Amino acid sequence: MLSKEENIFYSRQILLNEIGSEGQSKLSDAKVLVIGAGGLGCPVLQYLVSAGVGKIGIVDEDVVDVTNLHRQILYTVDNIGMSKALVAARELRRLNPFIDIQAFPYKISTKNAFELINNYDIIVDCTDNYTARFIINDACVLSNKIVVSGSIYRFEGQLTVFNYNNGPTLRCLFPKMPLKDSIKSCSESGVIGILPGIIGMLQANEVVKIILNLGQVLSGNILVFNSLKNSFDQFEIHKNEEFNYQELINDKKLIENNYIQSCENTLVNQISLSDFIMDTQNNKYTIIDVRNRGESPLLQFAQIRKIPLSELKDIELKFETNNKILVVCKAGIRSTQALEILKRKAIKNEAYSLLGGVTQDFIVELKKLENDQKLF
Amino acid sequence: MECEIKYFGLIGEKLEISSERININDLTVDGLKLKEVFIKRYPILKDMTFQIAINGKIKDELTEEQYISIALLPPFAGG
Repeated sequence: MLSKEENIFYSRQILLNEIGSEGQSKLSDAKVLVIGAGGLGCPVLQYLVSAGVGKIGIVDEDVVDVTNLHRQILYTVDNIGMSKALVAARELRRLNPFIDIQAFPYKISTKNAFELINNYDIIVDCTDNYTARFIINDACVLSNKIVVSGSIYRFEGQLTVFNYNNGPTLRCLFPKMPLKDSIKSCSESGVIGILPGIIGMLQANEVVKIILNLGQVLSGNILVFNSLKNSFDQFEIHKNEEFNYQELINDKKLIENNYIQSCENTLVNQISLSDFIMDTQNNKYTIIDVRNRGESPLLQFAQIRKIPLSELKDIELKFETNNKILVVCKAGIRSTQALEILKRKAIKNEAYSLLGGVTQDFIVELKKLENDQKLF
Repeated sequence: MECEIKYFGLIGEKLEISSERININDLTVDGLKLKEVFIKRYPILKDMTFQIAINGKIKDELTEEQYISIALLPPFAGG
């Protein structure tokens, strides 16, 4: 039962015959988890909270960076360096104090996915990489949760709803991790902020339609929007009955192969943080940061070479013969691409990409290495 | 008969075209699936993941149709 204050807050949408008090109560009872509080996640969160979705969870391990502000409109310059999930939760509580908002300021992984999604009915995928997208999809299919998926590339966006009433899933569209030459992130290709705003609002629209059982949910169809042409195209996705989701949880090696490798058919040396730390006891490493300049969290160590990925191929590189190389970036994707560039430059040193990218844990470990004079 | 082909996302960027018209006879090559025909036409597609949609449905086989519109859909990852 909504309070008098809530009825006033939502009065303009309660006026709609298709929503009314009953629909508003359904929104109030709904539980939605938004994974990714970036370009897509910000508008999704703003509109779901203002519409009165009663319980909202926000998952994001990232901190606010100045390069986010042109499109991640929940944040301001005062929030630079702060947790996106925590800042978003604070701002959204100010927008609508009637909503139960929980922040999860860490990355979704195979270790926490089931626990994270368990208390929610609808999951909104606003992430920026396919490792996360597959983890979300697979956990949701196995847990019988709906996924509202949005994604963007430059001036185009894709939108669909997976696993709705036994409908198609991400694996029906792309059964395997896409080849690395097929995908680029916003930091590599660029994006205008308005585009994720549009796609994010369309995602929020799908969530509300699902909760209220209104209109046509975009299940079994993928919408592709082009902001330069003002075109909307829809393509029908058919269900792939052959993909066996049960195998994912029965075969641990399959899980590792699916989620840890960010590209297929490429021999990539990836190393976890714990393995890297252990290896530094017996080996010297040169560390290269291939993120764009100014990307948070900053690695303020003089020994680390900061070479944005876009510049790496044009720079002459020399390394101590016996040093290993560790390449780092935000999520482990650009660092993987950097290894390919090093290989093409005939760099003979053993080189690794840091799994999971630059995290606060990594910075803590680097400080210890610096204190022990093990940073070269 | 000519087919209208649309190239989305990174595919359009790499091919440097967003759409074109191709005669259906050039898309019907014995022994090759439609995806393989496009890869042969544009070898850069060989290292890319994409789906093909024909007349609005994701599938890989051309059949006799009155009008054919084809789209190449790569995955979008940005968020």
